[in-house]
Amino acid sequence: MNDNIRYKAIIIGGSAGSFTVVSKILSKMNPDFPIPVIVCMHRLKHVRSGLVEGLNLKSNIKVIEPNDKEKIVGNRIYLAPSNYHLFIEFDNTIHLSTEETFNHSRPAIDHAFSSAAYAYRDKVLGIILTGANRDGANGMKEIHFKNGTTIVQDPESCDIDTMPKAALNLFEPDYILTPDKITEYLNQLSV
Amino acid sequence: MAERLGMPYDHSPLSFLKRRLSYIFRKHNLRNIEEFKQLLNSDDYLGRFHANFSVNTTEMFRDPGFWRYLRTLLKSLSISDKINVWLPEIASGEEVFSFLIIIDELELTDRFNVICQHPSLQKLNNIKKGILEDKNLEVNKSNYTRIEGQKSFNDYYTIDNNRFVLNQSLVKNIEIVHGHFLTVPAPSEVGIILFRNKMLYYDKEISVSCISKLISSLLPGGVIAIGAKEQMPDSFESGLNCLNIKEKIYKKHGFEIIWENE
Repeated sequence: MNDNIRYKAIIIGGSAGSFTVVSKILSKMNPDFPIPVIVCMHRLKHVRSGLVEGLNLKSNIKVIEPNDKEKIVGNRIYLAPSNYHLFIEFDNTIHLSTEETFNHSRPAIDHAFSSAAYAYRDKVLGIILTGANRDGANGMKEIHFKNGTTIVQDPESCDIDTMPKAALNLFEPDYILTPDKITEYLNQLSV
Repeated sequence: MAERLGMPYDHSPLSFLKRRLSYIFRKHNLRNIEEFKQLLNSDDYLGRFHANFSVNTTEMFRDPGFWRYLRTLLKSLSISDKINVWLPEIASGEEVFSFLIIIDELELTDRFNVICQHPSLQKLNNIKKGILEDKNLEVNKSNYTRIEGQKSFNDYYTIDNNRFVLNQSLVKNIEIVHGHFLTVPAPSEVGIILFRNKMLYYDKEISVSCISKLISSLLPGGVIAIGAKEQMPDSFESGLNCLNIKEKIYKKHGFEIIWENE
């Protein structure tokens, strides 16, 4: 494992309990963190506002809900908007979609992870956090088998460990870390 | 494929194209591209291809804030002649049925001619009959509650053979037009265009062609809505007033359609 590779993006997925974890990670990240971070969390689909504002209150880096076809740039957090799937395209842009729910979810974390695996291959870091269903596990496996780097939140540190355990049943990740250690890992990338 | 179908599918985002074709390959047990080409060469299949490829609207009254704003706008409409409303690429009934309920509650049903267009006749026939492919009752009802409608949502439909059927009095003014809107002549003198979340499936180049064609058919003062997460191409902004930036509702400059409170 070579931690010095330059990632083109970091993608984080989570469900139940993950807002607190994501807030904590973003609040401790270096303000000049250079790599784009894409966050796909299960959220209430009829509530369009609130989440991005809440994360921005905590985050050291600007958090936005991208428009369709928006270019992905560094030092920015991209939050998947409610009621849209989020995909990464080969030209490093965001593609949003209103296609069918997947794993009963829109946005579906598997969709976001799989597209990142195809677009970035070994240049992506996938992180799966606490959650109460299995969405995201297959997408993480795709990142792993396309030689991307994978971090699974330590199940013992999760509110609900179904999501990390589903991933651990499918492949052996590069790291199993607590939220504090995930932040440490990310910050050393920006040194 | 794009050539055979006469459609700009070669201008779709790659991940989208891959997902839709994977779905079609699975559905028809296709093993390779030759089998797919064979299927495409069958005229019988073309209509079904459009039905399988296109994306249905997710739910009725998606983005309740949009519908609340549109309702306020419609209340302020000064109507002398019947107004054409155009839904240029509509694969399922959720969006148009929402509009029909809104105008019913404003007692404006007979003031609008509602033009629904799509390359799949099967999809259009369902819309004309008031049928929803996915009932999605729970979500539709809860969205209706969020727009603060005047009635009970249950008053608007019946269930027939386990399918949602909108009251027939509401669908009487629907006119269906078969074909992709970029490849056939546009209706003229359109007052309102609902084109939400359709550009998601086209690249920037075709999105510009889409908006150009739609705005050309819009009467001065007419209104066009795109999806909340779509972007109006810069080149059109000088000819439009943005009425609501959050819900992406734009008005074409001019005064043939008058909105009294605007």
